[in-house]
Amino acid sequence: MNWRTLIEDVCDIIYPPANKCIFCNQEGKLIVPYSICEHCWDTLPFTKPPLCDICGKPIDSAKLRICCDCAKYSRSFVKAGAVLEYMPSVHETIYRYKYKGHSELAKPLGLLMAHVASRIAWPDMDVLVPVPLHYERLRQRGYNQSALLARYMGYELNLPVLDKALYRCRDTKAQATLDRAERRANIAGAFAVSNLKYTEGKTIMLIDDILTTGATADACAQALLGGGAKAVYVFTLATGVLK
Amino acid sequence: MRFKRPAILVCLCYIGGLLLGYTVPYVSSIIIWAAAVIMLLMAAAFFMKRSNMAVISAICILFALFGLIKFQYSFYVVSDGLELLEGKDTSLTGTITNIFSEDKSKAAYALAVDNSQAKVRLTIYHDDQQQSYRCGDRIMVKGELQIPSGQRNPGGFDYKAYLKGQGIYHIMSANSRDVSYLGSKGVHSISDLFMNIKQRLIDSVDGFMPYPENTLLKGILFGYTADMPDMISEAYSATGMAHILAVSGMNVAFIPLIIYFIIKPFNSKPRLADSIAIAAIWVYAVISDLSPSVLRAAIMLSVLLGGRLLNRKTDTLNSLSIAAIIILIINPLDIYNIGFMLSFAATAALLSIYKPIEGFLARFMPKALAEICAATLAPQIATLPIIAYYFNQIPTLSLLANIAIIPFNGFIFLAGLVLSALGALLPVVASAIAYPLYIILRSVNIFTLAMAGIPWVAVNVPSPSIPLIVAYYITICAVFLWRRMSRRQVTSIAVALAFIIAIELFTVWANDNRLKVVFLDVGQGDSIFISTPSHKNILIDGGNRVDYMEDGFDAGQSIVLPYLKHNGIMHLDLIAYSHPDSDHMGGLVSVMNELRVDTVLYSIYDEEFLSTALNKGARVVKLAQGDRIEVDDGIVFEVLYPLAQPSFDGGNNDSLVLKLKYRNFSLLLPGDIEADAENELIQDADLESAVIKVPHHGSDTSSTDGFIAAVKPDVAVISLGNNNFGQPSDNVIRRYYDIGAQVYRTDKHGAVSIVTDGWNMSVETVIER
Repeated sequence: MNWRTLIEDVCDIIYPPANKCIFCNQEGKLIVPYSICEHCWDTLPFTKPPLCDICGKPIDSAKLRICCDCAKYSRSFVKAGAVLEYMPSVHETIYRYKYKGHSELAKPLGLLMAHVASRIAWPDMDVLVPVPLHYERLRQRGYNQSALLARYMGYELNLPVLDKALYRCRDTKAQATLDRAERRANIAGAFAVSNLKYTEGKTIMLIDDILTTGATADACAQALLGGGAKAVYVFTLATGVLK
Repeated sequence: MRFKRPAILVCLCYIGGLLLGYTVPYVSSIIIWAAAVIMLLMAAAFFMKRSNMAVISAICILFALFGLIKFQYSFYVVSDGLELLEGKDTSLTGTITNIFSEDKSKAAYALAVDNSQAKVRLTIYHDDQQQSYRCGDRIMVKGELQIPSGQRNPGGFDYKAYLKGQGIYHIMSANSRDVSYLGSKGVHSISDLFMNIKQRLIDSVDGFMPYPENTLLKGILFGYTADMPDMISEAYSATGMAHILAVSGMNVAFIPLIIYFIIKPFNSKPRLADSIAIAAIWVYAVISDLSPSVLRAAIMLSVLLGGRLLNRKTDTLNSLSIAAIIILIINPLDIYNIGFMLSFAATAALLSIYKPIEGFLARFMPKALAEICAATLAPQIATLPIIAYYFNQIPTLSLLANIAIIPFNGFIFLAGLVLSALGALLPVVASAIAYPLYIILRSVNIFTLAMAGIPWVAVNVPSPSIPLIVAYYITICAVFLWRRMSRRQVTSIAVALAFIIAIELFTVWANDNRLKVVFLDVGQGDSIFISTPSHKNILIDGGNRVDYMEDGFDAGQSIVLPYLKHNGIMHLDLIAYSHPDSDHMGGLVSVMNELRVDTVLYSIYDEEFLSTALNKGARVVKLAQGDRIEVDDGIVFEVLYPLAQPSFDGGNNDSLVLKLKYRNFSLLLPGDIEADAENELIQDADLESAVIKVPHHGSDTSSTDGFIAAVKPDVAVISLGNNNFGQPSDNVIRRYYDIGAQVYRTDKHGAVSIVTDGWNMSVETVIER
């Protein structure tokens, strides 16, 4: 038992975790520490092969190896992975987490991400870097959802989390409101590395909540590589298909 | 095993420990610690085997033991270090840190004594010039340092324990000429700073708000009610609005909102506002004296905002328990602080039964109305037994009063805060706010005073017994958890309730057919309450009343009436005064003014008292030797004295002497007769009695050998308090001992109760000796 788990245990007394599944919101027997009921655990859309070799999105056939997006655009990151497919049940939970102030979902979701990430055959990572939020957005929301996920992953994977490595150098429109081409244009060059000491020579795992077109991840990865990073991998909670 | 709200369990165990510490006599903490260590070792042994249940029970037992030690330590061990000065005339120098009450004739302050941890409750009586002091004033005072009196009558107020709960162990009374002002302390520490801020805020309210609306506003803002006229505070309790005078926790929740409003335009860092809000809440809490209700709200809000900082979701019932644990660890004696009980009961209700009530009401009325009704009803349901137990009156119209006033509460609080904060800085703004605020406060006052005038606005009830209160809460829980309970749980609750009701019925049955005589401890004076098997209530004498002295003591108002109300007695079949001296008849005036009285018995005419009695519709009956009054089946008062033509001049020797007879039992109540009357009585009356109220408070001029020999009492009760008359006389006490009587004294034993079925009797005293 180290000091962090002790603090977490004390916090559990002051702030007892709700005895409800984070996906279906029903009380019942939950799988610790993810607070997911057995039923949801069995039915959740975990990403399963065949997956794109680069962006980790589900693809129709294993023969293709990569998806058409990755065939079309070059990616700055080496590989991307995700825990879940962005299905309605997942959407609802992420929506509550991001937009309804339920920051307490960070812990179970972050631990779930760590659990899956530790099983992927990627090279050893040096640091975790969350996708930053523009401070105006941060002020409204009160927290950066990616940074919180990264924090709990870091606890579990024993990796340092560098929230400040990247920053947004300009405000952008919300990606969710744009189509594919607009997204790339909107986000390109929006990120910068704050200090080279964070990134130089590091193998970095970039953390975000959702990967849709990969434009955001790409922009971040570009900035990180520009900051001297050795390689950038991307890991997200969910991976979605742009409709 | 995982608990949904672990703090509730810990809290209940700790409270259980505190109550145990309150109930059981003092246990040396070494024994308890030894027990705790053994428990821990056992728990550790279990823990090795990884039994979760063992760990949980170990934690529970530990907290219960901790509570026990904590309570007994604070109650019996902690002191203020002034014991050596007890009962002596001393001179104290210190700083006034709090003002408890202030009126024309006197003021009560908390005096922090220099070079010690001691806080003394100082009452200053104004004689010629009225000098009032403020928080932060340094004074020197000469007076006698006294120990406050504990509980002296059944159901009576335990002043000593009450003050102990505030960290006060000694009291002092002084005349304003014995107080010298040494200047203001100035600001030397953080606590001085807060005291200073508080005083400024209060001054600013006083400056902008006319009397008495300023007192109302100070109550709502800071729970400061020292100078509130009794009429107003009584009106608010009668209408069930007293909670707004004690800073409701709801108002504390406005503080973070104000902070967010101010800080929003400047804030760039997320959660900075939360941190500032937490700080602001605590500043406010310290300014309003950390009263339990404010402390509760401050802790709960801090947990809530801290949860946002920690990205944790708050469970409000869990944080309520955390608040209780913290408050009771800081001051275990708050467990019997009425403010603590009311605040926690009300909040628990709002967090649990408010929703179902609102859902139920919303079926019959608009949602907004259902919400406000539920917000009033839920706390009321939860606090009902506490209010009945301590105040013996239940407001009947509080729903109406709350619905009318609560909507203004938020505005009053916010405007009041701005007013008091800006009073010193921007007087123009403050006076602009003051006027509309005044109109609202004035209307609230007028409305409440008018409502308080409605008959039946509050009904008097006896204090419910503890098992009955427990049964009440079990029933409430059962009603609201009905749907979620299994058949087995329902059965066990039904069994528990049946058991409690059986115990209640048994006690009622066991006390039936019994005559009860209570010699109340009214200080120097007499007051004897008698209740007969078929519940006829008789009061002989009412204790002292001092009208024109500085401390205006009225035993009727402060002792006899509370005792009667505690027992639910609102109607007296008979009252009698032995003679018109103020230490016998004085207290009867207030009793007669407040209760319904059928008959007044007397032997010596007193114009004023008897005309009041007649005006109140009582029958007055003059008694003389030979009269008999049958008060109940087989229970008779024989009038032994005075003669139809009184032998003396209407003084002590003409006291009404009554003998109460019930089967084998007899009680002699000889008033203040002295040797002369005793001699006459020995000649021509059958004096022999099991119990005697010793004549004239044990004075040497009464209780002659011949008289005692004629009475042959088994029990002699002396009713008296501190006095300068040399009462009781040691000789008198010895005379009673010599004939084998047990002697009880109200100044030593507190109230003395005698219960008899006419054959056997038992004696009980409030203070065990």
